[in-house]
Amino acid sequence: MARHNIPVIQTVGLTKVFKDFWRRPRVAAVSDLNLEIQPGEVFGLLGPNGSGKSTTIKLILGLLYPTRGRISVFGRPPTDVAVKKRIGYLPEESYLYRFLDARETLDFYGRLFRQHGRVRHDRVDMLLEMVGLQHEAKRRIGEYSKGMARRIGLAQALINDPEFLILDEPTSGLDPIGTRQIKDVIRRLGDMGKTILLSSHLLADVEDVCDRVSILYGGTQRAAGDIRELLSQNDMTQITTERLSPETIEQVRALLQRIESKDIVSVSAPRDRLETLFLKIVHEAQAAKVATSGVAEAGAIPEFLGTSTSTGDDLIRSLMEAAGREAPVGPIAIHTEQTEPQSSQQVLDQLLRGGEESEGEQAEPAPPEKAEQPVESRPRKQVTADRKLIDDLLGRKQNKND
Amino acid sequence: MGNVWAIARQTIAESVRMRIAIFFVIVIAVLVLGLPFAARGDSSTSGAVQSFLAYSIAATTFLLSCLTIFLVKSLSSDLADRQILTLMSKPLARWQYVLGKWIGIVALNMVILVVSGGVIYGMTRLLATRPPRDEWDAERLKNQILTARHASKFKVPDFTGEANTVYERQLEQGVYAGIDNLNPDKEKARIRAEIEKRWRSVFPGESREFEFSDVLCRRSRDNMVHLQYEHRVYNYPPDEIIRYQWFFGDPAKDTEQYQVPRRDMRERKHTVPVPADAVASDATFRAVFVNVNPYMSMGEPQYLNTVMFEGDDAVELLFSVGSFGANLVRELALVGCRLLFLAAVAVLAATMFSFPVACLATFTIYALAALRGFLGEALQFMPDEGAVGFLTRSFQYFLHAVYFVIPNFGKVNGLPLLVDGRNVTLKWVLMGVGNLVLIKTTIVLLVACLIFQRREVSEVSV
Repeated sequence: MARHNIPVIQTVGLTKVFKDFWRRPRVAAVSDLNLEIQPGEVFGLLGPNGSGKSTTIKLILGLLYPTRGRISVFGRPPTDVAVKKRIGYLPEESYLYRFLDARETLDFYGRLFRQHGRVRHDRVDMLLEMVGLQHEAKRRIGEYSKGMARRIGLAQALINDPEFLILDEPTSGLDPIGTRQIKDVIRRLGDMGKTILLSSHLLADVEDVCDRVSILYGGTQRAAGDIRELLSQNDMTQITTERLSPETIEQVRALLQRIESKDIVSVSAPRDRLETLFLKIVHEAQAAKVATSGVAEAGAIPEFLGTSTSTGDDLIRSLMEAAGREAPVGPIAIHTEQTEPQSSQQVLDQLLRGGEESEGEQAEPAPPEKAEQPVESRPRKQVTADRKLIDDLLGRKQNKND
Repeated sequence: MGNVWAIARQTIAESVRMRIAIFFVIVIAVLVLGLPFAARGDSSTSGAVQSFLAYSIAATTFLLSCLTIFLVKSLSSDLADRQILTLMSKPLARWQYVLGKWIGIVALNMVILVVSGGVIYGMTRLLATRPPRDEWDAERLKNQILTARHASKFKVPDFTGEANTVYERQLEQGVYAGIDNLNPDKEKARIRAEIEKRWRSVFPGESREFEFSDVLCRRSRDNMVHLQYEHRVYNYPPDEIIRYQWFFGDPAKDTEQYQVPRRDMRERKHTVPVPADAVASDATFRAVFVNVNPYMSMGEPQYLNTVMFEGDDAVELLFSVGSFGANLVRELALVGCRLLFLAAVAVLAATMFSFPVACLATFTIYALAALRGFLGEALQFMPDEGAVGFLTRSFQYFLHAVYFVIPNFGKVNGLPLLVDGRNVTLKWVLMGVGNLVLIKTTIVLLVACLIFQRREVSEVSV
């Protein structure tokens, strides 16, 4: 337990200056960065291209040496070979040997962890299944598409069941299915207690999976904090129901006027996201076994992942079992089951009852169910972000995406 | 060593699958398998075998040296294509990576070297089955090429006493009168050298006795030892053919005796086969050179040529001490030592430079190591005065500094001996292993590890 008191990553005044051929300082890629990542966190490193995200990761891995400042990884210097046993790393591009096939690639990296033949073989099988490349295992990496290579890149990062996973632009080059799968994997691994450092300039990726973020620009940290607190709009409340008739909506509006003296800001029918529609079509095609030379349907999280985590073993085991049994990683499950439709009047009655019961209480939205939001159970750090800056960096771009 | 071997395996797989090694194997195979049909030598079978051995081993060595240099692309491309980022995020020490790359390159080289050696041995034996041109050809092939012979040097008599006597006599006669700074030791050494030079010169009508010891061979008539000699001749006849005779055997030690009249071209190396029963039971051998024309009875004149045997290897006695196969293995071991060193240099260069620069640097060191003897000799003939002399001396100092680190490949090259049927001694091989591999290769690898340890593998220069 003692080692969990030590931050997984701690940087103090970390600075990296790149020099030219004559050793003259040219670019400060990272400047005076103070970062701390606690065990079990899913931490996002956000920033536009050239903001110093990848450089920070390379400094953490000992691939670059800091110009100034200090880094510790599990309390040890990043060049300590023993520390690397606890780390998995997916680089910004899948830098793999083109002449090896997928199985040989994973076998090679498994050997570097001195895994026994049987263990290595089993892990390779499970990881290939997890990333949906079990049928392409004999093809050379050089023949893979970028997305397929990315999947093998992720598999090699998991071959040692790492306690700390560093993912540099993990969804780069992936189609929406792959992106969703990777995000699901990150969520599940986070649930298992893995510490994850995710670097991306794709804001939706980070928002979907991270607990805390640090926003870099020009090599300097501009903001850091809990992502939900950074993004929540505390002065608004959103209720989602099945379709209501205009009369019912009018009654709700009157009710709100009477109880809260507030009006409804907008009423609209929700639309499916394009991602959901796309995933539905692909999932149907996979169910119909339409031929493709690409990746197969991805499998479950391998059983071996999480076995190296020394704390909360029982919890992790149960989470793993749950992940393996109920929610395979892959194309997102489309919920087709229908509940009994309720009439508009029934809904209104329930709302009225709820309004009466909660009368006089603070009208805060109910906290999400723990099972749906496992990250809520983790400790949060004080928000230090400038709200306006966050809006500038995140909100505006997200609106564009929407 | 698990990680080192994993990197070595990967390096071998890369070299094979990227077809670098396959290309070189094909070229070596074409050369080794094709040379027997092209090798003719002096139209004798023994000459063809000698030519094949010389060219096939030299070509294989050169091609494997090139392969060694090209194989280092494996390390360079890891850095250039950034696979090193993934590798170094694993529990792999930098020295393990460098050592693994070196072992991978060396292992592939050694496999090709061993297979090539086997093919060269087989093709040599196949070539030796060609019908010999004559008896001399058959004898030469069997006893002078496809064997491993030890060379015994003759003993030069000690002329110190005679030189001292001459010095004392000249001193009494007042020869040195008026010489203020006479150094007696230097003068005695000069007189001794003069007497030895006179001894090495055989005037017309004179004879000279050469004695060899430790001739440890089977003393029987069907076993042959070979007297090999090279002379300088003054006042040679118009046809440039020198007539004289050799007497072998020692009547005082009750050996068989043989007389061999000779007509030899001047200033060339000549070999005389002698039955081994002329060797005495105490492993000594006596050869007497007589500068008298043995063909005078046939009406030829006695020419007034003087024959000089300069140098300690002017007359050698060669006798078999081992087999050709074992000799070939020892020579290939020396080739292996050179390749081990070259691979370490290539790895060192790749830890510092990009692939083209690393190639160029390694080729330069290879050339300097191979041409060390030649460069040293060439500089001796350069003027050492004036501006050119200054440049010559500067270049000599530079070469001394360079050769403090770079070995002399000529000293670990047994090919001339192998082709001449001479023994490539185990002691020589062990010295090559000790000096070239255990010391110099280890130093180069340590430097490579040190440089790679300090290097930022994801270095960005802006």
